[in-house]
Amino acid sequence: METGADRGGDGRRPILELRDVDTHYGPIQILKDVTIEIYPGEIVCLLGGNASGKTTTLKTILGYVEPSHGAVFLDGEEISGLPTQERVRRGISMVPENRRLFKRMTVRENLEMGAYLRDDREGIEEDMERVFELFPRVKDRLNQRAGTLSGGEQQMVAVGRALMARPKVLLMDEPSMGLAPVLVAQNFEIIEQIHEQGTTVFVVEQNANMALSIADRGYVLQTGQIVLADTASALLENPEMKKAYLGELE
Amino acid sequence: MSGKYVNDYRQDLRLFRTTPKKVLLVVGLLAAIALPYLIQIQWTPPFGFPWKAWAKAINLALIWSIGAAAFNLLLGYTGQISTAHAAFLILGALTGAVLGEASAGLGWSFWLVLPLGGVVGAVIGALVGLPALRVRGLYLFMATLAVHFAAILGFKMYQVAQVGFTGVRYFPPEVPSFLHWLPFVTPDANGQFLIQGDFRWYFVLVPITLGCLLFMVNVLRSAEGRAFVAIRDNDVAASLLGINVARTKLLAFAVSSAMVTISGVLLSFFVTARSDESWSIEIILDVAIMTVVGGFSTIVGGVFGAFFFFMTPVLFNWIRDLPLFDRFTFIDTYGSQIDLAIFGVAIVLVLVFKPEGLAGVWEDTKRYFRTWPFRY
Ligand SMILES: Nc1ncnc2c1ncn2[C@@H]1O[C@H](COP(=O)(O)OP(=O)(O)OP(=O)(O)O)[C@@H](O)[C@H]1O
Ligand SMILES: [Mg+2]
Repeated sequence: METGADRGGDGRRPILELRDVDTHYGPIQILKDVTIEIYPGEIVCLLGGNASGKTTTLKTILGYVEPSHGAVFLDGEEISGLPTQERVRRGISMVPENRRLFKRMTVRENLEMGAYLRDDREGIEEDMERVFELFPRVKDRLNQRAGTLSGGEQQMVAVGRALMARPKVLLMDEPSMGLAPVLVAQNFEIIEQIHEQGTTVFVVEQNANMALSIADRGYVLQTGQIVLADTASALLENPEMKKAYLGELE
Repeated sequence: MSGKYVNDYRQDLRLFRTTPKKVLLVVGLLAAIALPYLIQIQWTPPFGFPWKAWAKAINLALIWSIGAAAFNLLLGYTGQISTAHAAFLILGALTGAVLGEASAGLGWSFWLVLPLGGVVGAVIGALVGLPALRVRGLYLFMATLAVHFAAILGFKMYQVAQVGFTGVRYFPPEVPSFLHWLPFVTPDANGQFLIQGDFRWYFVLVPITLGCLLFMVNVLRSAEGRAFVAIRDNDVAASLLGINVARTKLLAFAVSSAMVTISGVLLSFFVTARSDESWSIEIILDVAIMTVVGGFSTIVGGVFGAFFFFMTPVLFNWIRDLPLFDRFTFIDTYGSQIDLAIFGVAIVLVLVFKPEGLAGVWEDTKRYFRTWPFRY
């Protein structure tokens, strides 16, 4: 098996890497030669407008679509071609667009489902406590059916559920979608906290300002191609970025 | 407010919950044992109440409880619709006909054929579930419908080739010899231990049905069972958590089909004769009625539904024959249609007033007594 790149120079290897990935839906090509590297302990964001291929990138990482060219690596091992559940087992978790909770299960059951692949009871209990620390509100609503939660609460449960798998890399698809500005800010604080606890985060966002304020690095996707890749601070200063995604702030 | 509230599906699954549950269990067991003896009593109840007719209805209800619960496991828990229900009853009948003590069978013991039916049902069930990996809802309904007609054709071909138009006859199974010492197991007039008649069948069916139901409850309580519910609620999210959606769907089909096939073996030997005309597409409607009236997404719901389905017609029949209705001849003429209409009304009433079905009414009753005398 091919091993992942080692381009950091300092001997570090990306924990997650897309290398030269093309993805098609039938005859239509969505991703074109996409290369993304995420190093352990980073927060990396993927920015881009509607239909630029952000969700498709995540689907390619998890195997809902297979790249027609190129490959995906986790921790140096190729994972493209593996079934989704195997990729999850190896340490990728995702908070999907629109949360996708199990509406008829309670909050607690949703969280427990997050640990579906695990059987270390104490570890699960520990992570459950960790989720309660991040989201005290969730603890108050443990026995409520998830479908009856507010949008913001659902987002918390969705994040909590993903964390219950104790992932190496957490993927998030537009976590601020549909949330009020206060909640968006809170949401990004939570992402920072999760990151501080040692989880690598790859977050897809349209809210470029917010995402870049917490990220180490960012990629910009335009009609399926990476058009910019830089550190977050550089992207915030980039004139093209300012024009296209950040609004004229000066 | 001392009642326990049901607010998660695991509580839904618990059969017996609090301390009175044990009392209830013992009373229930005693009643279950006494029931057939009561029915045997030579006694003519007032107004010609059809005391005896219950016996057969109860046995049929026991057999169909398994199938109704299995249908619920597939549709109510996993969200997969299958119209191949009758096909698996047929598969059970075929397994019995080919291997068991039947017209042209190999003569293997009923006690071997019964679990074998489960194995055959599980394998074929997983195959029938394959379309569920690609399609859902109405399309799955249609795909499994094809299986129904294929199964009828299969039985007809076997019947024509092996036994002729009269259909397959099934011979009464024997009580296994290691049980002969039991005090209530007595030989019949010919000194044989054949399982014949409603009284004897009842004692065979109760443990088998209970076993099948407990098996399903246990499956649903396992991690796989939680995966069933996850897939029903949101299959994309389920796959994101590492659930193998394809495998889980096939497993649900396999378990459900195995149970239905076992009930098909039981049914064949219980009614003793089957032909290609024994099965109609209405069977899936019957099972749906049992499931909805009994209670969707509960295993006990299937039991309540099956008992409702088989016992109410006996009651209707009796009411129809009461002198009171003698003047209304149309009631006799359209008897079975009237039964169907009453089922229809019952379904509407349940859907409107008690979507949890008879199982929900049962829960309410228990809660009422648990909190008695303090209402909330
Ligand atoms: N299953 C599919 N079949 C065909 N085309 C698809 C499919 N899924 C997505 N597409 C198309 O691929 C393109 C990229 O979609 P994608 O969901 O990746 O965009 P996105 O960047 O996530 O957009 P948004 O910000 O609106 O969520 C869109 O034009 C979309 O119509
Ligand atoms: Mg998207």
